[in-house]
Amino acid sequence: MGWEKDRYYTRSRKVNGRVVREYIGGGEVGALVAQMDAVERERREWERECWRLEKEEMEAFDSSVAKVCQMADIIAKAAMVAAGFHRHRGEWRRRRVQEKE
Amino acid sequence: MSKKKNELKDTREWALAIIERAQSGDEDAMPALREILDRVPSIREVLGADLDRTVEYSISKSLGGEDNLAFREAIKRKLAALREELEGPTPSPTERLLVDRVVACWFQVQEADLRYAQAGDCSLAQADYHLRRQDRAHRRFLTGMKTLATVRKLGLPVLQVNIGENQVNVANATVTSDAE
Repeated sequence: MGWEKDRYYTRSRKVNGRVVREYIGGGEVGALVAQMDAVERERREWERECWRLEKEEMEAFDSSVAKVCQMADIIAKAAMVAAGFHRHRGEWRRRRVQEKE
Repeated sequence: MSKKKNELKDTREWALAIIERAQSGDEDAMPALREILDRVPSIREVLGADLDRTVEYSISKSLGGEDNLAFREAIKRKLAALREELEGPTPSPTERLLVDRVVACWFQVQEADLRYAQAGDCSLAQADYHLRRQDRAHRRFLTGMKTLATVRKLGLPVLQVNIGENQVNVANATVTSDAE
């Protein structure tokens, strides 16, 4: 998007993978369309920023929950092992105690 | 607080190494393993404080309860009721931690669902992100429930009593003493 030789306002867009330049016009019409494009660009930037912030919030929340999950898993595992269980093919089984002679 | 977080990270790595040793039959790892379980209340305190802040922030910001005090109170009461229901009358420290996890995961599921519902006219990439997040939250919640159920089903020690210098673990039908 921009002004061609300061006379015509143009837009570039991709059509079937090729960049096509579209001539909008000069004078007041060109200035008005350029202004509308600028507003649209700003809106899109604002939306991107909002999404970035929202994603940051979600990631912080998820990471907090993940920490609790990770620690809870470790503690559960420790409790199982301390109580004499071991994991066999994903299943907790009680360890057999061999009697000492 | 960062000191506490570092301690938590050290505890995590240390605990994993101890569990590994104990699982491979190393008897020398057992006292350290019991020490991990003794530390559960303090671990829970550090994790809980962190989580409470996140939940509080999430309620007021993403769930829209910043000004709606009644809504905030309702959510907090719901979480407390869920915790009480899952803990039962005599929860062990391990069970308490597992319940904390289930409650946090339940809240995350609700938050993820609501965020997606509120997203409205979002792009395909954003919708995909929300869907994946919902899936992860559901999986975590189910895993948390499964672990809690397993710990209860296998009847791990529910009570730990310290009499003098002797630590006595009372399980369903067995009593073991470290001092022996």
